[in-house]
Amino acid sequence: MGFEVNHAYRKVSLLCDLTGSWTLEFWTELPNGVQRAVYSVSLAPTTGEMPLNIPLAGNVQGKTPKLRLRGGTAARVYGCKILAKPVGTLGGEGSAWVWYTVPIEVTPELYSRATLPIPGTPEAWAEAKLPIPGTPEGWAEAKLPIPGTPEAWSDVALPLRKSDVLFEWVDLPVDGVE
Amino acid sequence: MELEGKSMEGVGQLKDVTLTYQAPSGGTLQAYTDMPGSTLALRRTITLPATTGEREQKTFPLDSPSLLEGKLIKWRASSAGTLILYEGSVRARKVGLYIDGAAGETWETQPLSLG
Repeated sequence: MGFEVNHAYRKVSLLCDLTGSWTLEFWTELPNGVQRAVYSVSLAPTTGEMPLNIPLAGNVQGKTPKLRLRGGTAARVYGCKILAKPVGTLGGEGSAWVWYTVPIEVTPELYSRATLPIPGTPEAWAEAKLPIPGTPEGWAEAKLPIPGTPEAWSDVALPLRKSDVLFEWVDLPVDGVE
Repeated sequence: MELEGKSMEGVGQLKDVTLTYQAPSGGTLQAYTDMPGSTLALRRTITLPATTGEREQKTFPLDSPSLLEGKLIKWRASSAGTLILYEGSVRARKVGLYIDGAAGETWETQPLSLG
């Protein structure tokens, strides 16, 4: 914990990537003890990530500065510092200008690798059986389609036609005999 | 084939994407993000060159003309022929401070006590 000390402010350094124009405001409570924007500057679009050194007016002072960045497009801020030194203390000014870091969540320089949600395909091959019915090693007995022949004999009638005419006596005519 | 969307806490920046795939007829990889504008929309279309081998690994940049950004990211892969995706990865980082002015956002610090 530190005590709030009056400081003079000289510069703001931004490491940023600005799409379109933006406005940076520097707020302090001096003079009059009321927080207000005491300095405002327009920032031109940047070409990718680059540092911007923004000089402030020479009379910017205060105990509790505040920064405000506003615009209508996209801004990425990777770092921010304020060049300041304590002033107004008894015994004169012996302090040097110091860069104070404004707390901003750090953007890592390096990219980390994240996997896409693609189900894995194994490098190795798995064995799968083809749907071929099995062939047994042993042999099974199967009968040939030959009709059976009975061991016993059976009677079979011959195909002879019966004659209905019986023999009868017939007189033969012989000459000279009465 | 759509790969489910990935949500990042904060705004993510994507540097490149690496795919291991097989596509004898080639294919297309599309990247959808929700930035700028807070609406999931097509931001990049990448042509996947035709492959001759089974598993070919290729890396495609996502930083030209600018880094691909978003809080939500969705991928879509397609091909006129067969496309087999074996694996893939993307290089990404989270932006410390992203201000979307189009959505009315401003950056304003708390009063700083320099000590």
